[in-house]
Amino acid sequence: MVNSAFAIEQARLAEARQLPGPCHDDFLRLSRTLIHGPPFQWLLVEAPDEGLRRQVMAALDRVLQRAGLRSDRLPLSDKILDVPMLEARLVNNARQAPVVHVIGRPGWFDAARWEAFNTRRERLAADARARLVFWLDGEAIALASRSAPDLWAWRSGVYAFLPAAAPGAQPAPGGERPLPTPSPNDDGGVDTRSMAERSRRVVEIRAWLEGNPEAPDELLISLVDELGQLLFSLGDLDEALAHWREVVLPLHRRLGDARRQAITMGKIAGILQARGQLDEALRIYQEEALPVYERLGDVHLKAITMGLIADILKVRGQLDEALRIYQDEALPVFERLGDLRSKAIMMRLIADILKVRGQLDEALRIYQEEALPVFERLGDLREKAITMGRIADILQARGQLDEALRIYQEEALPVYERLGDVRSKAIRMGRIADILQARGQLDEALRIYQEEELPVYERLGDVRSKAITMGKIADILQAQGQQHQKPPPA
Amino acid sequence: MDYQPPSHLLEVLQKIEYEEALPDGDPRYVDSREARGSEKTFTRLARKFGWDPASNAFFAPYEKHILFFGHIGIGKTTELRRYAGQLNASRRFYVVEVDVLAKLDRNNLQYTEVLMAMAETLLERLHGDGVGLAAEALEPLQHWFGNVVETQTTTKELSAELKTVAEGGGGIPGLIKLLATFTAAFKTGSSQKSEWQRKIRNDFSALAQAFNTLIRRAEARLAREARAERLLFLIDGTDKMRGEDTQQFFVQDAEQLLAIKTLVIYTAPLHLKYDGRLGGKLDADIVLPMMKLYERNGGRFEAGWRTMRRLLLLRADRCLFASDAEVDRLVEFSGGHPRELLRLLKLCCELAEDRIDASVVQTAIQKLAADYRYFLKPADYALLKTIDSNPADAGNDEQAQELLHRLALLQYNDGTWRRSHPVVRTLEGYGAASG
Repeated sequence: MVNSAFAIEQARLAEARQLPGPCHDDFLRLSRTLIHGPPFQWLLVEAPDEGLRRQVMAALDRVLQRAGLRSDRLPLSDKILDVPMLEARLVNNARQAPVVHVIGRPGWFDAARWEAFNTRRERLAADARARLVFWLDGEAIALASRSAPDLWAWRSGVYAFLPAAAPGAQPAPGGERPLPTPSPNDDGGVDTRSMAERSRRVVEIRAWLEGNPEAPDELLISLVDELGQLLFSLGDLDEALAHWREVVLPLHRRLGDARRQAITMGKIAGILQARGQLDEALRIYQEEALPVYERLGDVHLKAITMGLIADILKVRGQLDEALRIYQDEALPVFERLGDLRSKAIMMRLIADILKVRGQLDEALRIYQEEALPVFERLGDLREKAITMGRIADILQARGQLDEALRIYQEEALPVYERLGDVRSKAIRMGRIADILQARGQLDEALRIYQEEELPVYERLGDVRSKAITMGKIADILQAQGQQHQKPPPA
Repeated sequence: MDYQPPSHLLEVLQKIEYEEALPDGDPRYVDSREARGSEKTFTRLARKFGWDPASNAFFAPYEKHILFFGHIGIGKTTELRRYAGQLNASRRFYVVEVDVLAKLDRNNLQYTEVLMAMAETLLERLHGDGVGLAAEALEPLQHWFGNVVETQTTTKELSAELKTVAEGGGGIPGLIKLLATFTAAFKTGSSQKSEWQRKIRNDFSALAQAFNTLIRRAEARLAREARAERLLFLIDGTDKMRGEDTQQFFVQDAEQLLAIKTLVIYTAPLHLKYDGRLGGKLDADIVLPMMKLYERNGGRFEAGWRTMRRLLLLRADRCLFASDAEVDRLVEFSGGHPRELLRLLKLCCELAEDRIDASVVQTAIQKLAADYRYFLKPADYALLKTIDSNPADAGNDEQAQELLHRLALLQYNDGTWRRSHPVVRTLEGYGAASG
């Protein structure tokens, strides 16, 4: 099944992050030109290490599959005696698949064979209409550039996947590789970096960590914290969870930092909460985080945690208790501390409850006058998009479907796509489907529920949202079944 | 509707095809004459064929075979298609464009096959335009084929229908079919290819004479219909032959080319002009210059910048660039070479997320420069540095020609001065070389 452009992009970035650091950028380039470039391309890939080549090729094939592009492999074995035979095989393979990986063997291409290949290039372009990816060693590529300059001028692109140098092979001053540049978001502010930038940063940090296994804990701490936050923001919840549990938490324990242990536990609880494991999340907030902040006298973190506890109560339907906590325990703290952003978020949460209770005018006023201007002033695109989404929810409830649809499509979705926030995007896609369903566009609504929303919840392990979406799908299928069963008009 | 350049990076990426020459009238075409310093190139070419575009004075030479040189990928075919449009519009010439790479196999390409392709394309064009020819105009060529068909082995390859054509039937369509049989066999490397090449070579003077007769009769007919006075063949793709085939075609077999008494333009690789073996048989004056961004003294050449910017912004909408600075930087590092500009643009499309900003451009430059690392040797860097320190003193040895062929060295103003490719100058090897 062909995935949406967003899902393909997510897959591309996720696969790139799993590769060794030096491969990241060229993997993104190569996968993009294969998916989006012209149907015929002749691409040269320098990949001398067989293990790495297999790894990259497998990652590439997974992305291509998501994009609906089948790939075929053509090893340059002894059975391919010469270039005419290679040409025939390429033509044949190109009929079977839009991407053909030609796996070179050292020494197969000599100067004469490159020249022979050069003489066939127009014919190949006409008869083998596929992306021909030649996986070679550097020597073979250099030979092509020297012995067949016209062919070289014809190349669609050159990419390199080289094994990382062994630790210490390129010593930096002091005997260690330099630390990755500190992230501008270490202070916990808004991460405005794009998905690709964050993916690249993940790769940088991992490469550094691999290259410096003996680095002291004090040096590691900010990097591993940032890595966890990046994985979470990129939607890699399994990895983020494992990272926080297995890397970050033990590190803070070793350093005896109770406050940061509690913060990390809170992050773990956040993932469990997103996945619908509310009891365990609540237990962590109440038993592992809150007592620590109380003991340390950290009113700010305590207020945030109280807000998170209220979020869970709200989901469970305990609206009064949730509202009380927001209004009496969290909001006054943020007001006193001058934390405008947290205050605006808290106001929005209060408005959410008012909305559920049917107090739409007051909820709308809070979204528009108390929350939105703060996020706009702070340049917080994500929170602004969330708030716009809430405004659209109310418009939708009031029957102003066109304006609600416009906000979801133009104001909210692009932000989530840029930020790589798969969950929020899936939620908004669900809202769009709700509107389409209300308008009677059942097929398109069904498609969005099934292809854009459900797979995300499945991937995130969010059983609650998945169940709700399954219910909506069942409603549509039932309605369609009833339509089909209606007797034809007389 | 007016042409709109693509405004999404992936759409730009999808449409970049380096080998695509623009047809006459394509909205992406940019007039590059001022930028190349080639305002007079078309006039010079036209005058060599006896026509002065300014005064419309016309007196054509009996024959003229002109080589049209230029770097790989600088737009020779695009420019020639434009020239062909102007020459046709003059009603002095009836231009027959022959794409030899589409019709023939570039491997072991010889004048014999090119001649067949010329005859086939001429008849196709006349037939398509409704220009009829009397039977006696076709008779010499049919007669020549009649002799070929008598050869036992060749006969096996020909159907009864084509044998009838070779014996004088079928008119223009029949002759086209017969010629197409030969060119198709040449293209697919049929077992008969060598034998037919040998047969044509052995009996070439008769074939040339028959073809010349056809040309004269066609010209007479075109003149009677006031369509044109002379035929002019534009042979494209001959700049892309193998090295040894290039030598064979333009040097060893030049006399055979000249045996066709007509007006011809052949595209030719730039290095052929400078290797000293042409021997003056073919007219080797015309070079399509690169677009230049700087004068030899280092001063900016604004016309070059304007043209390259326009070329870029017809391929990718301005909204895709963070600012004009990114557009200019791409232009600068293309060195004025259109395909290199497209290559940089493609790299940007592969690298950028939604906009092409300074860091994307910088990475694209590094990536393109890395391609040159595959073949440049320390001695190459040293030579490039020497040339850069004195652009007019280029030298002309094999090493310099190789660098020209591979675009590490770029040539401006009809070859009066040269400079290294700007991306090459970013490489460590260049920095470390002593020039």
